[in-house]
Amino acid sequence: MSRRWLVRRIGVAIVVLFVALLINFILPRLMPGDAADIYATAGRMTEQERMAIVQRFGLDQPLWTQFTKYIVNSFQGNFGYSFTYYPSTVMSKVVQALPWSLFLIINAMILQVIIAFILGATSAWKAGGKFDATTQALSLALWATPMFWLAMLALYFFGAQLHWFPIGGQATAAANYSSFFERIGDYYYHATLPIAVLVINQFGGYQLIMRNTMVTTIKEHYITTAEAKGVSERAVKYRHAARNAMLPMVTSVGLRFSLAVAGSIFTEMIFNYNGIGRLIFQSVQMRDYPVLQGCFFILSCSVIIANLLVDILYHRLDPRIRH
Amino acid sequence: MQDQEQRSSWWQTALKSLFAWWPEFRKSKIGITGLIIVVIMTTLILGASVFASHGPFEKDISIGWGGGNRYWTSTWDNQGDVSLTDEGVAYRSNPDPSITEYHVRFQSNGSIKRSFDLSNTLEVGPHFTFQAKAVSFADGDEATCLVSADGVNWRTAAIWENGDDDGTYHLYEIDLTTDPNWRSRNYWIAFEADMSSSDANFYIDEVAVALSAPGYSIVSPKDSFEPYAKTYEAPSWEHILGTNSQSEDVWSRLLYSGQNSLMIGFVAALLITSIGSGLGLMSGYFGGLIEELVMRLADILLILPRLPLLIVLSAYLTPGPWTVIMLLTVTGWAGIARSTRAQTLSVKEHSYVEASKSVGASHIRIIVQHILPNVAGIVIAAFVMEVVVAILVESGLSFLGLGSLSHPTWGVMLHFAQTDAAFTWNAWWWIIPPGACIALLGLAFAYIGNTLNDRFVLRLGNRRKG
Amino acid sequence: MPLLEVTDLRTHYYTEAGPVKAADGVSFTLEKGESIGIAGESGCGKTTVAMSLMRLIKGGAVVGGKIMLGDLSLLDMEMDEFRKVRWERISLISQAAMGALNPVYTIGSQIVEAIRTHQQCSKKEAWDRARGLLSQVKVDPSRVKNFPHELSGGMRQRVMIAMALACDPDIVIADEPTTALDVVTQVQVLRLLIDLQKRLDLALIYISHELSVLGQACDKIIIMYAGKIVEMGPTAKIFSEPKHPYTQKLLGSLMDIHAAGAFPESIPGQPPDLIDPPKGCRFWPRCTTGEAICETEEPALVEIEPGRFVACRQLNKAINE
Ligand SMILES: Nc1ncnc2c1ncn2[C@@H]1O[C@H](COP(=O)(O)OP(=O)(O)O)[C@@H](O)[C@H]1O
Ligand SMILES: [Mg+2]
Repeated sequence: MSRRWLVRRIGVAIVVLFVALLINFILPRLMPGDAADIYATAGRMTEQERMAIVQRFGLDQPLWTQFTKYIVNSFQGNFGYSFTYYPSTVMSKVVQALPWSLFLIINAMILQVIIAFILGATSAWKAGGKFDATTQALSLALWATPMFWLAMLALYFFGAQLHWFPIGGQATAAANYSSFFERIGDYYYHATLPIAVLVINQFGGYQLIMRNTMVTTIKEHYITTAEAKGVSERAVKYRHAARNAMLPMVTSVGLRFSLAVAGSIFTEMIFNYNGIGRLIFQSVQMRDYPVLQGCFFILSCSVIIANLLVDILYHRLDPRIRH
Repeated sequence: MQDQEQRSSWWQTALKSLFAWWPEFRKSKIGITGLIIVVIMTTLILGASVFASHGPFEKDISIGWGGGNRYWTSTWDNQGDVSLTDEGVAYRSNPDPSITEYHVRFQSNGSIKRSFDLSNTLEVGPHFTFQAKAVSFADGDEATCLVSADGVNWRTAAIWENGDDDGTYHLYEIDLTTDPNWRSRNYWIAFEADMSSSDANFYIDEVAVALSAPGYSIVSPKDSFEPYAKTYEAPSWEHILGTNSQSEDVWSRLLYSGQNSLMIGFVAALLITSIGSGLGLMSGYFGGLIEELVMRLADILLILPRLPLLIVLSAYLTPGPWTVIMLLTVTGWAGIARSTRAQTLSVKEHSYVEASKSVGASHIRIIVQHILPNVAGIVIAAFVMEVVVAILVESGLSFLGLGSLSHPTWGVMLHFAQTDAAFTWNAWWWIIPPGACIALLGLAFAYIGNTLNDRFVLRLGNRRKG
Repeated sequence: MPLLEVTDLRTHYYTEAGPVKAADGVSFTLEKGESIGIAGESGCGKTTVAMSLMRLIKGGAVVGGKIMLGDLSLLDMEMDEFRKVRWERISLISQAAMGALNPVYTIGSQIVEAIRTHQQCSKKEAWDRARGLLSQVKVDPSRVKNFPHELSGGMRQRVMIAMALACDPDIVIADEPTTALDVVTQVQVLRLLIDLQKRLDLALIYISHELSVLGQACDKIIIMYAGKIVEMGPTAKIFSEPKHPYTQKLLGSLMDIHAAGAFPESIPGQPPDLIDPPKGCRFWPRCTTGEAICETEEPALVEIEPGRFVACRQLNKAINE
């Protein structure tokens, strides 16, 4: 059962990847003009180089051949060249940027889940009370606030005005780190504001799920049992209730990964953080289609993998479905 | 009782189910707060023509030349044949020393009106000319000189001239890329308009010139210029939220942009919920191939990262409000379809649906009478939340520069605030209001949606223990 | 001095329509090693009494009365103090066999938690004791690392019993412990409980809506109706000569099954609304022998003979005459 489930999940992942590739393949070809232009037009490209790309992607051949070549190239990690940064390949740009984005996203998501776990559990513990009403109103308000605007304000106040944090970049330029910890410290220093903005803007979604599950969980009989056992209120709340109520929230991490990705696009743009998000922003400005598509594909991959991992984690967390 | 129910027509049933939430909703403080905010904001936005102090695309540019002995520059010598030149500044004395200030209002009806600091020269009389000069293009500035009307090419300067009264326009195009030195040169962009009266207030209907380049600045050729345009004015009685880099009244822009934001959010949410719930209902009710198809498609859409997908799609398409709405709908229906289907399935299990079927009631009748009232809660709550999501996503896309310039939204406002570096001008009045409007309207809808969810979908509010 | 003395317990639930008076002046005593049964139709307040003893009322509060455990006044204690009473002195086997164990922890760790909350002992010791407890309730000790969903309903309820005994409590409250089980398992669990009660000399409060079960398990029986005790006395007496019309009807329906194998004839009518209960005797609307005065005057719970209490105006009148 478990293996069948895994195979099925992987099957779905592959289909979704395929769809992402399909979108990337079709879009440029739906546009008026020559598909070759999209792939093989960079400002300083020579005719020879252009022909090489046309060859490689079979752009002068029938659609079907183009498609198979496209798929083969994709699996080799070949998505062509950047318009703006020719002769950089799309893959090299994307691979450079991805770790930074993941750094932001994963840190932010862990914090979000922890905050949501505590706030959601606490507000459901006295559902309908003042704390519950306040946190709900607040997290909804923060959720409804545009991420990029929050980021602009944060940058302005904490960066430009108070000088608490750097106003951009992901690391001190040309820094010579004496130790690993210094390096990591510098990364975190630069990432503090972007992560804070991501967390503040997006924890509300988790918190809502956590709270609503918790509200029903605390009516369960095993909570009464735990209370009757005389364990402390904290232990009942966290060890018994919240531990059970967190499962839907944890599953939602997979689906919400793509929201975090969306959020990182804005924060990276505002904070000049050289991750995928900033790359997307620059590519939009320059209409650097190959890079844009590469980013879309790599983000799809990350989201799909995150989904898979979360599903597996969920299986570990809930003994009922482990068997 | 039974009879009455039989007699009431299907649309009455539908209507009743559509408003079944109200009695419960009334009791929620947070929901009512949301509703009040939505009503107030919607009133302001829809009544923009009443509440706005300035026109939708109106620029407040006052041209002053203090002291009678000041000179001001005329623009170019080869009138009629406008060209780009970095020389040829002529001087002319003030024609009427008693006039110290002119108000010139530029109005561009819905066409492009972006985006440079206009240093301009005015020649009062039958010819009104207007110019701006862009200098200091650094090497590496990619989009150095841009006239952007929707769809006009990059790196091309286009100049419209408001022609004769018969309404013809002459278009001048200068392709900057043909100039080998275009990166290092200083340029003039100019247009001229034929004015039939010498009234101090005149209107030009089409200002379709835009010049934008990252990191360039516009300077006046001679320091004899007074600051003309009321750019970056702090809030005052005349401009209660100040002005932006384009000398536009931020408060008025805010209201007019709000119309587009709200319209896009509302229409997109309407389409998303109706298509999503329609598909969900059909797949839940009929099952079979429809269900399989719709749900697998939904699975895929739910996993694919929506914003990157939207960015890629809109980068290829021509921006415009309907493009955005279409894209939001295509990428957004899956969530609602899934939850509607689940609810439909659970309702279908109920005996009364089975009973109606066996009595031979038509599908439409069963759906309207039994299924619809039971999915209405989910759908209404989802609709309200979807308005927020649509407004937020649209503003995000616009902020990235993928928005429609002809129908600017709050996101577009923030885009220009960002690209014109409003914060370095300390123009908080240009940055805070649009974001706050999105947040406030979003929050209000979210409060309503969340209340509906609580009271109507989760039934937390009125749960009684047995 | 009795082990447990409950005096005039009043518990209300707060609803939009007003307070539900789910326990309205309940008084009884429990001696060491004694087993007492509480019977009554569903909704009469049995669980409410049990939960009030544990101070676990949700959505309401104990609004009056006194609960003395030895010389501890349970309702007046600080919550932190009272937590030490829970499980250490009074433990609870709750109504829902299926949902009473936390699904994400092994049964062993849940028993260990109970032990280590109240007693200083090493982890290993606690686990050993958990195994011992399991064998005491006839569950294979090797299952201690199992999750609740891996056990059958009957086994889960045995685990609950084991857990209830973990801290050697003075009193065990069993709230319908067999309700959700199939008949054969019900009998086994009941036997086990009776056996343990005798062997460990426990004070047991056994709650059930089935009088027949209480007949086997209890020394003393309390009959509740609509939040009040209507009759209380030794089991044999209750069965042989029920005094209150309600008890008689309950027993009547019981006899039916035994006699004819027919379905018990339920008592006509509905239990009253506990938000706005009848002014006089609460059973009056359904009573066949009631008089006019019963409608307006509330009957008191009167000791008609030592250890035997009845709340019925007709009986009291008969005695007084
Ligand atoms: N949390 C609650 N809120 C409101 N009413 C309740 C609540 N719990 C129980 N009740 C009401 O109190 C009465 C007694 O309930 P309960 O003690 O559970 O009865 P029993 O255990 O005898 O079946 C019932 O009428 C029930 O509806
Ligand atoms: Mg009960």
